[in-house]
Amino acid sequence: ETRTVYANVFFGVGVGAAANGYVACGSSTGAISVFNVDHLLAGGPENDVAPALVLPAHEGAVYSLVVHAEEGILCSGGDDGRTAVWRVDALVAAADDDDETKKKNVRPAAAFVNPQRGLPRGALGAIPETNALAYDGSRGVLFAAAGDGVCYGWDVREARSSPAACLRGHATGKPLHCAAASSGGGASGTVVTGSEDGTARIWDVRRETATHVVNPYAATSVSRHSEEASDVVGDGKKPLANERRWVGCVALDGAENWCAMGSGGGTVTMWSFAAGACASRVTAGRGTAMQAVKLTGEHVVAAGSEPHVFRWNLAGKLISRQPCGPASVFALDAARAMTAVGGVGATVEIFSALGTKVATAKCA
Amino acid sequence: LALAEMASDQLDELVGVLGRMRDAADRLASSSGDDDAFREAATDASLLFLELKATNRAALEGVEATRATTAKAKLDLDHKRLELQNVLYEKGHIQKEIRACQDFRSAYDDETIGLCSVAEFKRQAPGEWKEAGDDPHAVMLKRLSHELAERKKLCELEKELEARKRTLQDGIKSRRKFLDGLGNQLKGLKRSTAPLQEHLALPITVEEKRKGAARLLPPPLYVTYTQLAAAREAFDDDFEVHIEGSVADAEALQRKAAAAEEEEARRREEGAAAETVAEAEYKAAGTFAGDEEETRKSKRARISDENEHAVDESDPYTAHPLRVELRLGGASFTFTYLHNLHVVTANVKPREGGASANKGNRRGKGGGDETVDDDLLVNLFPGDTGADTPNIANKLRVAGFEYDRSRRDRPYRWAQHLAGLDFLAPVPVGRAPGADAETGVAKHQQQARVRNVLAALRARMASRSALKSQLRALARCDIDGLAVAKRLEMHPKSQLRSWREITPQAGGTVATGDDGPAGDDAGENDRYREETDAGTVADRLAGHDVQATNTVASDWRHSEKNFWPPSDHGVRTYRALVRAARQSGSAKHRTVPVDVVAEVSVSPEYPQRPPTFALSLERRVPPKPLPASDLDSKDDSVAASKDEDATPGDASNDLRLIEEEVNVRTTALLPTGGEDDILGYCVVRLLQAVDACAECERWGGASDEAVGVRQMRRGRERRKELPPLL
Repeated sequence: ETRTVYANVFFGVGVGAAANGYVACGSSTGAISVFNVDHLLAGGPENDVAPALVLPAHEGAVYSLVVHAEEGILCSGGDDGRTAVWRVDALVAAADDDDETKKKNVRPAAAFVNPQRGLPRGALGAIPETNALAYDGSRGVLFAAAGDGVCYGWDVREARSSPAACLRGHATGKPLHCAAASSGGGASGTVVTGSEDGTARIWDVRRETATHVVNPYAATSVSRHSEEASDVVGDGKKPLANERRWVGCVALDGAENWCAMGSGGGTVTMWSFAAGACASRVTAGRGTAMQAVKLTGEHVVAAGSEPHVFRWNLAGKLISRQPCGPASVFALDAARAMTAVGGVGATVEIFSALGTKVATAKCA
Repeated sequence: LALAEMASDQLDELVGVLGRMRDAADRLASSSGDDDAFREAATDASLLFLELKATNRAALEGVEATRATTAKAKLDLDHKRLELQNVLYEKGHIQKEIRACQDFRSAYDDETIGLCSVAEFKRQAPGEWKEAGDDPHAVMLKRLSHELAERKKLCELEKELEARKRTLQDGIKSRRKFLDGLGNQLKGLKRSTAPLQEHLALPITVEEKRKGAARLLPPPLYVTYTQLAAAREAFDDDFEVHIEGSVADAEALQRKAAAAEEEEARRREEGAAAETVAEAEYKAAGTFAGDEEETRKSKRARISDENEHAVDESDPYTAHPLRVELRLGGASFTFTYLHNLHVVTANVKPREGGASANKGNRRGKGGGDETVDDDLLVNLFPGDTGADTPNIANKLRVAGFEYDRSRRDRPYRWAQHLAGLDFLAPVPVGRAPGADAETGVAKHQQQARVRNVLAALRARMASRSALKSQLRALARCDIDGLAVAKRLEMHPKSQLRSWREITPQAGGTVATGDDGPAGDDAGENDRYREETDAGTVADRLAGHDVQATNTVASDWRHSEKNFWPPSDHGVRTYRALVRAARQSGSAKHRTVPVDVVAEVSVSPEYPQRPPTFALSLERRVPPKPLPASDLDSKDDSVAASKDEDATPGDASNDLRLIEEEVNVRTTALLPTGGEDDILGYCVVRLLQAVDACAECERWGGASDEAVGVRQMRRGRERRKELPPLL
């Protein structure tokens, strides 16, 4: 069966020179594969490196992985609607251990399941899948962007089975594709979600209301008044029925001044928190649906349904268009001057800052 | 003594006479004047003379007597001496005789005579033993006489036995005569019943002929034949087993083999003889001359024989003239034994009224059943491609030997097992790359081989004919003609526009025939691969969106490798063109219809290995222009428009999802018993999936409306749910 890597994330333990780098990859088999970065780099760019640890985390695909270094947790969300929280130290211990039983005995520290919609006569709808996760470190709430158009906030510290927050407002029945949360910087208490309905919403999580509704495809801010008729954008008259405008990916930068939003039409729109408006829009190609984006300080790194990774600077100038292995990229993470790229095909490629491939990880 | 006394007496008398004569002379001399005294003296003297004369006479007489005595004594002495000589001679003779007797050596020493030992004699004849007493000679004599008696007895016994033997032989001879006659009689009987057999349709004679031919089969084929024939008789199946080929050739071959064997044995004997017997003696013996002539002749024959053998060795594919043919349904499977490789190969041909063994119909098989292809037998059992010889010894004999893949008959492993040839794996089974296949075949080996093979052949033929009928329907682009479509009562809106075979012809591999040895084969293979590569490159240049599908396909193949290695032999590739149905609402947006190209690989293992679909778009759907925004940076839009034609892809996610749906999920959706129709199911599913995607506004996905509260899209790749297949 063809496997697709939907998520990969770097994480580390220790500090300074003693820090060990790891990368976790979630694939369509529902397994999370954990690799030691040092082993990966030792393997060289041509050899597929097998994972140090394979966790059968979800039924169906793993769609999202997020790490919070301060809390030492790794959260995973998948097609089964579950959101699992794993302890990083347990993962690392199992990954570095050769004992197979220990590897098998890694269990999530907590797990949450998206609520089902109630249907007439007591029936329950399907469990909506978790497409994206975002961790609000300031409050300890894990936001899971679910397939029913609602973003559920789970209190990781209390681990209650009912959501601590529900961000409703996107069109019902259209899945959320992406989420990003501030980690207590300039835009503290902010969560950004992107939906199939073509809008990205910037939420004030304290009030659970959207402060801004953005259409990144057309790069406009949708007024609060036209929110109900969200199909009406642009000049507010012409319905855009035929657009590839869903929001496939969002990302916040470390300082929380900027938010990047990628759309299905191949555009990446930069939102400025300071200005409260769209600042620029860049295009990767109109046939390319953007599926992953990262802000690495000075660059916007994005990729979509074509085998390239794009880099722009914040001014919107294309820096590089770098070929990569997966024909369609779903997973992108940048850390420690490395970029991990995963997608169709079971491999995650790791590129150096200069754009050369340094390692290939073979995910389970 | 008497004589000597007498002589001495006479001497004494003579001396006395002489004394007295001297006295008389003295007295005469003294009586010289006295006449009286003279006369007296003269008378005395004359008397004395007389006396002297008497004495003389007596002396002479005495001498005479002595002489006579002496002569007598001498005679006596001579006589005695003669006797002595005789006795001495006799003694010497006797001594010589004794010595001769003592030195006597019999031509047969005691051991060879086999005289019974003393102890045995004592035991067997105690009476005689006692009779003989202590004298060893007597004992020996007794022993000898005992032995003689014994031997006489044995001779009697021998005579008796000889007589018995003769009577028995006579009996045997008469009986044999009867039996010989019986054979002819039986033959006559059989001949006379032939019309009856024909009338009653009894296969006795035919069977007999066949069995006669079977005896000439090489052992592996004999095993195959007997097993198949036994299965046929036991289960009364509807297949036929025949022996094809020239019986005469086989007989000749067998004779040759027997002769070679004899020759070999003789040579070995000769070698042994030559060591012991001196060569000169061997030659001197005139009686051997004829024999020698013969051996020389046979040596010549052997040399020529060896030459022939050498010719045989050079061609590894020399086959035994006899073949076993299994006729099953519309196909005939021929099993051939290659001596030099010691493997059995199997070949399949369409059955043409029993006429086979004709090389002419190899290529043109127009009249035959369509279900019969060369690759019908490939991977009949998992991993058994028959591409290389299962006999590892071949590889050791000729380094790097590889079976000529252009040959139609291939050494499938099941054929070896059917023939009772079990070759050892070259590596420990667990470590062998085809360990699954090994265990699979081993399992089959433990079971009823013939029935399994026959069942597999039947299943393969059935599925192949189903496949062919589906392919025919597809070639007509007649979806409703598929058995599946009738069953599903389903009418996809998308159209199958064309379906044609694009299987790359493997260059000269088939045409050139036996190029022979190993290296060429590999080269051939490379060329084959290169050609396919070139094909895909050409596709890419032609603007097809193959990059994504390529990756998918390779990954697919890769993951499948764990299952069993696919065979490159007999995989057929088809190119299907599916036109997506136009959407009702948005016709004005799209003037060019969307065509999806599917490259379908159908493996010879169909349906065990389902067909695989690799999808691409015939031509790209032009993307709509972006809504105007003053935020766009200038150079970026230029770059984007420049890249426009190079970007492979909007539809890749959707196409990949369809591929997954068709290739993987459809197999799980099959109803039981529908395995043979999997190609049809896959095609229908492909059309359904294209339908579903065409209902979106645009390829590459776009937002579509939620129906009620049902979620239409799911997951990161915006998977659209397809209607159920069944």
